[in-house]
Amino acid sequence: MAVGMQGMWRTIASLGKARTHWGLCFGRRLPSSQASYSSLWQRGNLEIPRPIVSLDKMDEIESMLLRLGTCEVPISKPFVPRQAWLESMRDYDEQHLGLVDLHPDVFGVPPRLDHLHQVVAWQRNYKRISHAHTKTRAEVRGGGRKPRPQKGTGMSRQGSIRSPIWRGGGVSHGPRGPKSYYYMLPMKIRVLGLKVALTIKHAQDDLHIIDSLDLPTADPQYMTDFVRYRHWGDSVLIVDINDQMPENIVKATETLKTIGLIPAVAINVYSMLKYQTLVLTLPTVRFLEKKLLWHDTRFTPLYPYHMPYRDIP
Amino acid sequence: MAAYMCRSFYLFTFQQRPRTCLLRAAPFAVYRTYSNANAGGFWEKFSFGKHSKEPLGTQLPEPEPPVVPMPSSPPNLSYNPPEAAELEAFLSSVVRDAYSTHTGPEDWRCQDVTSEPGRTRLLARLARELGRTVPGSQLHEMRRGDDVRRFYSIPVRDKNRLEQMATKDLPPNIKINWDYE
Repeated sequence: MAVGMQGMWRTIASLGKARTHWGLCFGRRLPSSQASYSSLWQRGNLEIPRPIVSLDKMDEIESMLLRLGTCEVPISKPFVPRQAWLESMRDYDEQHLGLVDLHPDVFGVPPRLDHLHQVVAWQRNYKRISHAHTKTRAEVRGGGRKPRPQKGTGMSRQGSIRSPIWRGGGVSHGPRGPKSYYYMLPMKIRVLGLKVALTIKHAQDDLHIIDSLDLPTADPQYMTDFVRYRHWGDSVLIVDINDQMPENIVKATETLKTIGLIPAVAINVYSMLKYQTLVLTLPTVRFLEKKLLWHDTRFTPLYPYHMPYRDIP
Repeated sequence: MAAYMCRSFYLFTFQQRPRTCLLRAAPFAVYRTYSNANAGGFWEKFSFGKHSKEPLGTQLPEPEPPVVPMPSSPPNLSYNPPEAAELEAFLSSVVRDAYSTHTGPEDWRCQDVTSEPGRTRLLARLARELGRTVPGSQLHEMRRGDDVRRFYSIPVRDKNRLEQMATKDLPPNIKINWDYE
């Protein structure tokens, strides 16, 4: 674990920004998720003077925030939600459209780096099939005859020209493939890995939330300029709820290697750590919260989960 | 003996004999070259006035202007806070505007800034006017006016020492090499 963890430490530069206290975890939650006040969270009309966003777009954004701005899954007191800015990709300067609540049990979990490493190692290895295969002395062609008599020649005694000590002979303890490295981590560990990755992205200011994937143009140059203007980093992973995405963004990101576009069901820890910045749409955030939080309160399955169930979210 | 070396002997032995007229037979096979075989012949190496000399690099296509150009260079991430008194005066006015409260002069520090819609209004206006946004990781820590004041009183330095040096006037014997070799 120590060797593999070094890479993890390099990717997670400093968690001091989030000012989390690892040693003082309240159960499985962080003290920064708690609050000492008892005010209600209310949503009303947004009256931000924003000449950049047109009025009809403002109505859409406002209704989206009313619908999806708060967490669907209730947050038990005294914990308070994390927050993030709602941004847009329609214009360079549309950065402060509103504030979005993020569930602390998804975006504010204690950073379990060991589980993160386990999940990344599992993702890399479980699909691996190694086809390395060597022949033993019995399989190498030839070598049935004793090359020279046992005694009298003055040379060493040999029984076959394909023994492992001979050049061209078989390999005694080589790979005997194909070999599979398949194994499954427990489901809750994989879920926790996703939660930890999301938490770390949010804590290191690498998480951005956008209202939709609308772009003004399908030009890839606009995409690169936009990412540079917003200081989003060298590589961006954009996640939407559906796999049917607007044409402009698909064309703009098709030829770009550093910008990835995936549906929400394809989100995984390896991709989240590979790309520097994670950009989620608002429906994606709610989808992830619903899916990941269900595992905190579920029962042990009566039959395996890969068989049909009616009540899983 | 010398007769063998005379000119007539030379001409007789080395000149070409008159050719007999042979019927040109039709070739029994036609060899087609699908590759560029004949173009690489001996004489094709010499271009007698075929290619005029042009300097390289003049025929690169010009990059098209972007459809939606960037408004300006990316905004600077460095932040220098205004004077403490000025900052406090500005914050108090903004907090009062956002929450429409008419309280005493020092009560803006204890003002609870967690309730919407004043929170979005306040933080968006501060981001616009001071040029520094509260990052997502610290948004949940902004609970009272005093937290906001503390955040906006911390300066932020964007460039590291090398980049700072590049912007200043350097003596002529110091040059910064940005390329890796």
